[in-house]
Amino acid sequence: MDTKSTPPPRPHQIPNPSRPDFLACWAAASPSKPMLAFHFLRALSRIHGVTTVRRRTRTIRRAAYSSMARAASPRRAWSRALLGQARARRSRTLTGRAVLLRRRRVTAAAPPQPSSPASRSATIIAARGEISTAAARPLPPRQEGEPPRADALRRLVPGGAGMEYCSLLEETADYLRSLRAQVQLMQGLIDLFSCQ
Amino acid sequence: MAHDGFLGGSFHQLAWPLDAALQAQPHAEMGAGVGVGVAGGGWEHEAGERIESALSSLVSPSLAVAGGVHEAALMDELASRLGGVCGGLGGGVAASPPSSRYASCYSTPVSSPGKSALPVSSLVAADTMVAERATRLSGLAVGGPGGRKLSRVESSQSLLGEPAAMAALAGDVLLPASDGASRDAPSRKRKAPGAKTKVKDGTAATAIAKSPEPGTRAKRCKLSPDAARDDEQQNQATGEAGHDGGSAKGKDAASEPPKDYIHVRARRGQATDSHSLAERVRREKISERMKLLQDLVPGCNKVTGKAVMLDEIINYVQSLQRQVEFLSMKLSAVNPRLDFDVDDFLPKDVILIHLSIMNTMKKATTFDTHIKSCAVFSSVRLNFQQASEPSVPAPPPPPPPSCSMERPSPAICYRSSQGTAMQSVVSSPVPSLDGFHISGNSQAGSIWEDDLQSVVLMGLFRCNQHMIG
Repeated sequence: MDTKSTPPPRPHQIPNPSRPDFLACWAAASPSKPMLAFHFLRALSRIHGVTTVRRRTRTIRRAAYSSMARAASPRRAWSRALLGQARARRSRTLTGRAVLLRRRRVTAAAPPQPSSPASRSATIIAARGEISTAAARPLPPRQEGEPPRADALRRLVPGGAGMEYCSLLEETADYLRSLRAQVQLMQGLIDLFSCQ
Repeated sequence: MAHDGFLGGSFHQLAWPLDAALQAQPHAEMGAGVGVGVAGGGWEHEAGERIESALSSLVSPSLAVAGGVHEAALMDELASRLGGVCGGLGGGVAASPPSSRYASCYSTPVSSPGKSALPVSSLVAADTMVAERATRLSGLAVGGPGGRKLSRVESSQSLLGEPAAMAALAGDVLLPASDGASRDAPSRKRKAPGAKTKVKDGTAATAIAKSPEPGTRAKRCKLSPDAARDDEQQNQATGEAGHDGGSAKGKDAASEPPKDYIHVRARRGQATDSHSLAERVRREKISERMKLLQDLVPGCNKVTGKAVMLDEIINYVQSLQRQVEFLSMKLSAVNPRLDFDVDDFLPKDVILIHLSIMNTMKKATTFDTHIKSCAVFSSVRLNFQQASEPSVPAPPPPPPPSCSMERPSPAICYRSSQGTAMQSVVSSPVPSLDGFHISGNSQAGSIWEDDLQSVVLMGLFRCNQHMIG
């Protein structure tokens, strides 16, 4: 999967989503299509050189979500959650030495990542722990006006478990936009390749 | 005030015309409200400009409603003033480019120290001072050429409720006084202006609906000072604390906690404690976001009710995720051909050639060609990556389309130096794609065009960098 650095900043400034008065202008902001295409295509090329055919579907799906998360603004909770899941999955499958090598490559590209062995193991353990706790974390208690179907939405949207209903709706909207862009991209790719 | 946000507590009271304009322009409200808040925060320290902007913000929503040119100019003035303070918030105010003419003439009556007290008066928390200041304001309004502008301002206030406008303005001011001074004022607030708020509601509602002409404004201007004075005294007598009439809502809350810089008016007949206000704010937020989601999810326009909407949203998210899964399955089957094609070509040549083809053909380069170039670009990035570890792919701002015109010329020269064999191989599949339109996705093609073109250009830029450096 992608071991590249954090996504670049989006070209346009997004108004503060905590102010509903600007939801109109905020809603118009769409995910950055060039970055989506860039990340996904890069991942695709890498996948086809590396993975076996059997596991390719799963890998491509994960690459799709990762590229979606990278193309989105890092302020989005769902993008952070997706990238965290990807990182945790990677560290789960790798042994200690492989993780060291991979982390070294990553830190060369992205300084924010921890590179010391202690923090690395801590990261792995934290990642593993995070997965289990994320599943077991209770829903936030402040759900006053929230309909009962909201927890289904929480399961669907990545990172939606710990959010309030209000922000959950925001994240859902952004997630929907990115999902739609990703689907359009993949559909176009398929059409492009299948007609060659 | 219990909670002073960024905008300060006294911001709240001046927002009465905002509520009136709220139905018309929710965006204007924020900008004007922010301006008023700024003024509210600033009046304690210095008068003049901030108060001026506050006053202009007071009138600007109503002016925006009226839709006159002067009003827009005032609003722009407000927006420009707010620009440094609150970034994009001031931009929320719909505005045309500010006209210095109006800025100057608006500032003239207020800049002088004596008159600068006038806008301050609107914020000063003193019952007695309000009357005299308001009268001075109205007197100015009737006054000279600068005053004429002010009169327009004031008359626009009167648009919101003719005699009630000035009274409400004065009444608004009283709120900080009452809140700061005593708590029995709230009780008086609730009881006394019952009838008054009704009157104001009616006038406000009607005022919002109509679009007054300048002619009528002049008349109202003359009427308003007299009526204002009377109303003021009435208001003072009742100890009313403003913020009532401006809005179409009636009662005000005794304790009005400013929530997230959005000041909420308690509606008539609703509970006014802070908990229910917070609840109401939250519910409004949720409903706004549900509206957003309704626009996103196709086919949800007819659906009403939050539960059904939520089900639709969940279904849509699930269907999109299933689509991603399905498409990734198809991609895993289809893709090997791409790899094969790409590996054969020299990537940088392909990009250059493709760009030249794109620009020379001048056709609407479809989605496929862009994708193809992006695929090539991605492999290019990988090849170069092995050579030198690339930095964060922070893209330079996409070069304008005009830049691409220069690039093909060296590209064409380069291509010719490479020989024609590769060129023929490359260009033969590419033109065949140009005619192909994705069925049903032509809209997507148009969406992707410019963005992917910029991606390709970015890739080309990076290729050049690597080639040179």
